[in-house]
Amino acid sequence: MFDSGHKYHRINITKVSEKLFLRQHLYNFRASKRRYIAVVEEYEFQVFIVKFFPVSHKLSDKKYNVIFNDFDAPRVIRTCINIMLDILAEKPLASFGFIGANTISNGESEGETNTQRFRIYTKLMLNFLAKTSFSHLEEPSISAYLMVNKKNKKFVELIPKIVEMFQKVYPDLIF
Amino acid sequence: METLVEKRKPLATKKLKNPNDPPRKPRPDGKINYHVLTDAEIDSRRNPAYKYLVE
Repeated sequence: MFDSGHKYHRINITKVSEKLFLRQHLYNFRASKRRYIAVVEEYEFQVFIVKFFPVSHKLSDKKYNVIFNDFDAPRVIRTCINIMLDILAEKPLASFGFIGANTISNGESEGETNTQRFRIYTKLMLNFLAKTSFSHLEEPSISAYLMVNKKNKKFVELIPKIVEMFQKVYPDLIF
Repeated sequence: METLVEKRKPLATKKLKNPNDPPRKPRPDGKINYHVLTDAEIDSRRNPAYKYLVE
């Protein structure tokens, strides 16, 4: 499982006028039963957040919450990991993060704490990204995870700066 | 004139309680309480059968 991903294409990179993040990198790929878009948001301090959703749901406000019985999740997730590796090859100081969205299915909603996606993605990051290269930080109560690249000089001092940046950008995360 | 198509009602959502949920205690300073995983925690939680993609 998670050995191979789908072939993906970079669509474009756009500068974002909002103050939330600096750039948006768009990718697409065709999975076994549907097409996906992967969105990589580039923040200050070379922090990249990878998100993905099915093209068919691009207009839905629940596009990150839907779940399908395609039996293709490992390859879809591995595709996003491969995109992360591509970014890392381009920017060796890149750090990464994600929020495991809660699943909404059949009118029922999973809680936002320690979500199923968060638990799966966390395990994968621990298995794939060595502790010698990245400092791993987690906050299960909001299903958030951050990997700070240890190639950054003074990466220990960088961690609170990145956390503070996310608090400013996403004040809703504070509770 | 009345329309035949009624406006669709939003689906009712129900929050499911996850037994693994840690208690939601806000920090007094209102900051995100990130936990930096120690080497021992990482070793205990990872599956050694997986090979690192980034070392």
